Amino acid sequence: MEYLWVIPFSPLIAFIIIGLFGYKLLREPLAGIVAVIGVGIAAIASIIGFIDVATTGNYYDLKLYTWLPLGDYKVSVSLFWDPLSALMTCVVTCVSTFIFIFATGYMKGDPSYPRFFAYLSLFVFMMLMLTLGDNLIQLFFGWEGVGLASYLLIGFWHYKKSAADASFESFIVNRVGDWLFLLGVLLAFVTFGTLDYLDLFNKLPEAGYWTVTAIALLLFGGAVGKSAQIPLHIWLPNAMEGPTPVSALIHAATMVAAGVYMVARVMPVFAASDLALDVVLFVGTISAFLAATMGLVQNDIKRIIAYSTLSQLGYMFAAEGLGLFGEGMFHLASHAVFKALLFLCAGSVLIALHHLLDVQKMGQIGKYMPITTGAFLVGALSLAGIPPFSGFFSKDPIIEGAYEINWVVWVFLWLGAGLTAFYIFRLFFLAFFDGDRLDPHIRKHVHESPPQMTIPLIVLATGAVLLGFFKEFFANFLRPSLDPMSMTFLNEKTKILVEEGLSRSHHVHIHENAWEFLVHSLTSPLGLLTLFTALGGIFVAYIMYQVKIINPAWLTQMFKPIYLTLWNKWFFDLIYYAIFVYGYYKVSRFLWKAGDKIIIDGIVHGSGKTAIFSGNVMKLSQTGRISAYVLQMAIGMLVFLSLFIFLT
Amino acid sequence: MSIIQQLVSGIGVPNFYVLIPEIIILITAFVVFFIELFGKNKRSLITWTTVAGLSLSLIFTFVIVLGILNLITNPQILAHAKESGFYSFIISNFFEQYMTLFGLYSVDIFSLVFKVFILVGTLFVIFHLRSYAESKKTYYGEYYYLILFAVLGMMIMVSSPNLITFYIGLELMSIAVYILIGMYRKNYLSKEAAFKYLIIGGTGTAIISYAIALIYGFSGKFAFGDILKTLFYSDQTNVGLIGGLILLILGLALKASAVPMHFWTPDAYEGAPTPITAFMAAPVKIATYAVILKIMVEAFPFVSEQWSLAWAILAALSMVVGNAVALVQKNVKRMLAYSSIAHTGYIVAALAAPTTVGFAALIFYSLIYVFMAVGALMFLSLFERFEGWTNHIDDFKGLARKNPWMAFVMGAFMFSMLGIPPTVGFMGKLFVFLALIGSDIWWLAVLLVIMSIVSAGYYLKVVSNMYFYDPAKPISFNISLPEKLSMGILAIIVIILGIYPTWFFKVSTNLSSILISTIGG
Amino acid sequence: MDLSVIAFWSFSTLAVLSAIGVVFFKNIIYSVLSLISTLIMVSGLFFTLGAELVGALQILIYAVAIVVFYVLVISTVPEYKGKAIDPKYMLLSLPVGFLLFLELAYVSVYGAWASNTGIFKPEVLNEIGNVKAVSTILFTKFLFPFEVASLILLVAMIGAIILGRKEQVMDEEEVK
Repeated sequence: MEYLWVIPFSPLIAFIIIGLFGYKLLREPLAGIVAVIGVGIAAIASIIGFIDVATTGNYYDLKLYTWLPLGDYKVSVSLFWDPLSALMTCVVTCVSTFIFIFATGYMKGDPSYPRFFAYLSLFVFMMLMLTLGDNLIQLFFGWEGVGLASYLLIGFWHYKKSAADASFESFIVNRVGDWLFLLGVLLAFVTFGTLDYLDLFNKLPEAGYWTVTAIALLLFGGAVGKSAQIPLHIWLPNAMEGPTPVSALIHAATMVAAGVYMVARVMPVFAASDLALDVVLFVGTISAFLAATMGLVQNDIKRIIAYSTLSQLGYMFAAEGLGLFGEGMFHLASHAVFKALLFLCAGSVLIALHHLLDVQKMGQIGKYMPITTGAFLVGALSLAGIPPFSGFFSKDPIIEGAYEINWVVWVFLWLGAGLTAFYIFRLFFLAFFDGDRLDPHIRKHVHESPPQMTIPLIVLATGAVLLGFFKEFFANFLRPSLDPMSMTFLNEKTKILVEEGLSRSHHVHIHENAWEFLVHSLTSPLGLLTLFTALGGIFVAYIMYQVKIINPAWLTQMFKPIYLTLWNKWFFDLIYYAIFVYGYYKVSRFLWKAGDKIIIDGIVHGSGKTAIFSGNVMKLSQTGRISAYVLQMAIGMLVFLSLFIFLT
Repeated sequence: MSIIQQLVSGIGVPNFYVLIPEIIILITAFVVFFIELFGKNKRSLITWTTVAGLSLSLIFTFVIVLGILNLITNPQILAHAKESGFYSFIISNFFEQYMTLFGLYSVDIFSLVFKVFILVGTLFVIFHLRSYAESKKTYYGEYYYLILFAVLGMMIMVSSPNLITFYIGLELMSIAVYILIGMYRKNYLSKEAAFKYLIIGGTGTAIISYAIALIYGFSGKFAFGDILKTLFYSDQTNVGLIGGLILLILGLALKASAVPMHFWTPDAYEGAPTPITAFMAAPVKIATYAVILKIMVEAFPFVSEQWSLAWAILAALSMVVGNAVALVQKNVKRMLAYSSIAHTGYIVAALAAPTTVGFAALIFYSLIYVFMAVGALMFLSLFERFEGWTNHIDDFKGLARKNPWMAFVMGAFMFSMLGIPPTVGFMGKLFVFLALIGSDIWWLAVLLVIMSIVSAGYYLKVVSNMYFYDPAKPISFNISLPEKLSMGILAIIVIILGIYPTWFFKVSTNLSSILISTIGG
Repeated sequence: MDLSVIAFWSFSTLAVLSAIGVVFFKNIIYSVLSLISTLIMVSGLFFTLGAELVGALQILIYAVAIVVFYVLVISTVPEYKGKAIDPKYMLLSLPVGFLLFLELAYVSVYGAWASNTGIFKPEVLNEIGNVKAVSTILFTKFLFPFEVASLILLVAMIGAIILGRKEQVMDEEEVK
């Protein structure tokens, strides 16, 4: 299995080549081609590895080199290849390949073309380090690395002020999550003395319940930041300032799903603490519902899809919180496909409309762009959970599972599903059909995108149609990684512990075979209810925005408070701004005034400017400054000496 | 035989071989001094003599390091070591072999490693000094030999086994630095800064002398080892001892610019010519950290409870004040001065955990800090040469467009100071953090984390100004290839060490265990 | 009363008085002159304690070399600055200074001090004399700090010259 090393390093090599020669030698088409080849090789290698794992059911733990000795424990750069990481790696590399191909068309003519592909390759490398590590430190490094790449790519069009602000915001918000995550890693290290997953899992029964809970919750804090769950979700919608392939790759399909992956990766830790699972469930459910409501009233085409990402990630976390880890991971895979598809369609629309984002100003573009429209429809149906598209097979089991485990969660997830269907079809009707609101100047130029953009759309749309039918295959495939009784790398004690933790989902029976599941859904009341809710959402969108029997403006007036709450995204941004940005500014102002300004009598930025501009002020202040300095030092000495002579 | 002859008969001849690096620096300083006095067309000659002297000294330092390492890896000596116990072997080798000048000068791996980094940091500064001074029309040959004298002072400091040697080295360094700060003579600010530091540094010297007097009064000894032995047999909670120790810590804190003894730092850093600021921020700082560690560990291990608490408080104050005030600075040079106060906080925080891990973290962080500090300040020094550049934060706007390489380099230093992987600054903070939680000092560890998040506010401002804005001023930059290369080397070191800190970490861990094993030697 | 006791009290009183002068004189030059007086009085203390050599060195090094450095630096400061006084911190600095003094006094009084055992026994000192004893130890064991101290003086002198050298300074241009 040594060839697996190719997977992370071929994008890295592509990054280095483009980084060194991008502007001088490769330039426009070639830089993109190098990047596509780099990630393509990784995709092929990971598919070969995937097949190997699927046929043999083995797992591999390869260590490249010892990176850092921490006492007895040695952190190594490693490659852990089991069904879970194989699935995630395949999702990352395959989706990336198509998005890269799409991007060669999308970024055409951009002056920073090579830089874009260099960043993208770097991102893929970091993402693969994250998925492939066999220890939490490597995971954390990948985690930080994808954050950095995301930061660079959101701000890619840095001449846009909003893009610069958004990247800054995403960076800061992610830091909060990252520090929590790092604290979790360190606590795990202090507790277990190791950070390798396998050793850590096997030592789980030795640790106390509250320690494990604390570790799990801190790690989950990182996931909340990275996967943009409430309350750290505010950065993701604004991150849509980046180029659309970036939104598709990083902020929909892969990076934001890293949190879900991480929770599944360290599943035994979460399973060992039911409190941690409850928190995951709670945050996931709330995010799934609130994000769906926020998506109802947005007008920016990319932000609508971004809110749907938040919401779908919430479903995945809810699944994990319910103990349905396999279903959560399957939804991750299918979501990666259909969400990448939706974003790429949006990108295709944006290219045609010269980066017009407001859906209220679109309309009737369906007839000019048949392939994009068709692909978008597939993605939207999939997202809404209409059979036989993949979203149905991955999302409905979560909702049905919730019904059997916790009906409160079920109510939220079920309502969320209806809202999801509504807002995505609102977007669909407003943008592709409906009346003619498009600016005539733009209309003249609307055309279908070139083949390197439409082919990825077709491939991904096919994936979105077919993937769901492999439900049984994926369930069996993931079993050695996520079902405690089949996890060969756990010892007996841990198995029992994990089994107990997941007992909440034991009585749930979900048909694994896709056909059986379909038949079951179409016959049982619960399945029909879910299905009709989704169809109802689509229908309401249809009568509101296509047939226009109900006037949206009238509805807005009727429910103004609700509308305003949703429009302001439940006031999260405002509250954060008030507390953190403004408060932070005030506090630092205060500290500065207290520390420097009051004592040295209004000399603002030190002696520099005052000294140059006015000799008089300087005369008064300078001697004062030295005296003040020495005086403060003397006070410090006094306090210090008293402290140690009299108090200790 | 007279009484005097009897007294001096046993004293012997000092071992001059291990002093070769210092002797080279001294000779170079005098050679530069005379070239400066009598030479003609001397500017290149002065620069190259200085560089040659420093490099030669660096080479000989390495030779001595290799000598010591050979001694350890030599099979015969190793066999002997196994018989007699490894630690006593190290002690005997290091102390009998390399204690020179009648017990007033010790050369061991610890001091040698720090000397290497002091010399390397100084070489970077020298490399950029001339073009800066000439562009500011403030070139003086005195720069060079004063820097060399300061380097000599630092080398004496880190090699001191004795309060006297330490004090004298500290003074040599400090006085040379006072003058260097005032060398930018076209600018009144510089002279004023020199004056301020002179006054406040003088206060610091007074505090240290008083502390030494108290410690001498208590123990009757100057040598670290002797103080330790006296301490072992006497009352360790004695007011005289604690008073002396705390005053010594405060004096050292002043030299390391820890809050509340930091007041000279912003003015001195801002007023000094920028290469000198880099010199003060890197070599001078790490020599101070090294000597702090050495004194605390070698002389006062029995009262570690007191000094670890004292350093913890100083560290906490430095982090909070340094970061908070840096947030509102608009001038990047002054901002870096406050950031250096904050970094002093992070570094001495490691002393709050008086364990091998803590000392290793301190050594690691101080060594890597050289690259970041020299890098960031040399960047300013390079750009200050251009008309219109004032170090204001807005001057950085759009730099990525005009000069992508330099913007990348500065970005690497800023990220490293902020402590974001994959830069080495993250590793430094991580090790300090690990040391702190290893000793269960959670409050300081959490404070460290919070403060590094706060510091994102000002470091990222520089990065985002460089990358996300259009150029605000029409300044044209003309940076030569060697300058770009030298800055690039620093940035790449910062990144590579961040990805592969293993070797550095091993060195720090070994140094820290050597330091501990020499206790009582 | 013994003569040496009288000498001790007069020297120490004068030293304290001059030190107060250093702090409170409004003219910076007077302050420096008081400083010299303080240093001379301290060297007088050394003489009364029987350490003539240290006393002499005190005069040579501090009262002459270092103070000259101070004077040279001060001479570069414009006159109006030399006279400036800033009493606004007096209210705070006097009590703080006094408390600090009390604390240090507490340390000095209540600390347990090691008995005064030097390298030389009193008999040896009586035989060879103070100068020889000091120079023996200074030129053997403490040769190294002694030599480095000479370097410090050299650097200090160079510094005094560099900083004191008249040159067009921005500040002076503005004053005119």
